Amino acid sequence: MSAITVRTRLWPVRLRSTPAVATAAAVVLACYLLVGLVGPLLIPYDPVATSVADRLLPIGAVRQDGTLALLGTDGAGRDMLGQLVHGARTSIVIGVSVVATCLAVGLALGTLAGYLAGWTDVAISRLIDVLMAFPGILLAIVIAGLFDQGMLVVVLALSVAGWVAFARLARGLTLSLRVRPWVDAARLIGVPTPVVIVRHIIPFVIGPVTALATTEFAGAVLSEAGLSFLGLGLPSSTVSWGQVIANGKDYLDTAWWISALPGLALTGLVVSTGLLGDHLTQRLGSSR
Amino acid sequence: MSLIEVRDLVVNFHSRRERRRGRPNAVDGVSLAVRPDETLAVVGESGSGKTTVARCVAGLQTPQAGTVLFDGAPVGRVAKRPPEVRRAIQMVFQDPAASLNPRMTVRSIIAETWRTHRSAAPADRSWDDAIAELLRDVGLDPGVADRRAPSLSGGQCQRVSIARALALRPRLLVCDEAVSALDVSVQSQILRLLAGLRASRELAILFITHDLGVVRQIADRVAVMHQGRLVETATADDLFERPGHPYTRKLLDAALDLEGA
Repeated sequence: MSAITVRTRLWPVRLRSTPAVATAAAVVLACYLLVGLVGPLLIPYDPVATSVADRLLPIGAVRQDGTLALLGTDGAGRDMLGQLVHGARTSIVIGVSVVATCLAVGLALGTLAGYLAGWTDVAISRLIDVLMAFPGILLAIVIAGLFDQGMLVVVLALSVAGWVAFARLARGLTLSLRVRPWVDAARLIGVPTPVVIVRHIIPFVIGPVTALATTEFAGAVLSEAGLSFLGLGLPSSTVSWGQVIANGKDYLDTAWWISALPGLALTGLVVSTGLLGDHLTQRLGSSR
Repeated sequence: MSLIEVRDLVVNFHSRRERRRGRPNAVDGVSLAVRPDETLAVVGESGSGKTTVARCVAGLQTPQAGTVLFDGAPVGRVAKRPPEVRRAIQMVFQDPAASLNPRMTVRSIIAETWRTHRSAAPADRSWDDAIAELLRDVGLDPGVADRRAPSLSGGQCQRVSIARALALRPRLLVCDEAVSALDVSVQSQILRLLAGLRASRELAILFITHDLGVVRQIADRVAVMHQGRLVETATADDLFERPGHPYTRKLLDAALDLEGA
């Protein structure tokens, strides 16, 4: 006798990407965006101005001049709230620039490789293989270490390996799209190849690629923090959560808030981006 | 003279190494010709290579050997063809919905042909008027122009495909199983439409199908393919009255069985 067995999940409770979770994630992300874009205008912060008298103040303490240090101060007496808010802007700017660069390069090379096939595909695919074989963060460290510190260098260092995921996705989708009859029809008419790609391929690739962009954004933000933590990222004149975490690592037992607060901020941003990304992948994942 | 002629066409989809090991050709030395005013049907079972022949004629597939002659001159794959030749050979595909870009309106799908071939674009009136007339010619309401493929039926999609092909005033229409995905009543509507267009537009048609009923409705001559080879070419009347090749007889018997059942 045959019976249909229903296997119960080992972990019935799982943070799945339901619409409610996705909405919550989107709201959290919107808050980060708002803080990152508007916050620096409201909360002035000077990373070079230090105050020895106000060193290592805990959360909610009052400074010498009577003002409130809402989230405490770090080892040089700098305001933690200001660092968090300005760091949010840095993370968002870097994340968006890296993803935009990677998306543009990856989409262009991926669709070209998939559509033209032949030698173009071989060349681009081997380049992808080589970059995949190399840990992306290691490559970023090498590149960031070779040049002077700066925003542009960080964006470039993180983009060099980051476009590969976009290119692989775009290439795979293009391979299945190029044999669709509407593409054949365009070729028969004699529509120029760049127009065929832009008009008949890319509109069907852009959805899944956008979904991927969210997860790549989270990765870029994490990598930037990693580079800055190592001192290879942004110059100290620009606030970055990675730097703040690094600054606080000597005080972990006495002033935990210096490392913990930017760490929490980073976690919140990455997790909510990931949850939203899962949801977008479900909705836009297929090419039609 | 023939409008299009195919000589000794050979296509093999296997890799070079597998070919040396004797993997069979998908198309194995096929020669056929279509005159400027006739409908030639190519019939055969799945895998007989008939679609591959059609794609070679259209230039979407590059053969390993053999030539395709248009007006007596050899033509290569579609990207290498002169614009006039490219314009003259258009195709209608099997899958009605996938033949049209689902994100584009019917209007922009047809206008794309004229944007690419300025010489075929209507000069004396607006493109919108010309599109409306074209849609009427294929039996569609001009209001369809603003709709996209997902909101059209299979038969409507196929009519739009035909309109797109006709927009370039082609001399040869390659129909690759163009009615196979449609139900029978729509099939005969489309076939009647094609027959009418052929008469009014001086069009030759290369019609690929596995359906002998369709052949009887539209074809002047029939080429029968079996395992990549051409086994028989005859006028449609002759083929149904006096099938020459045993395989043709088998095909006809199978079709009769279906009709009788």
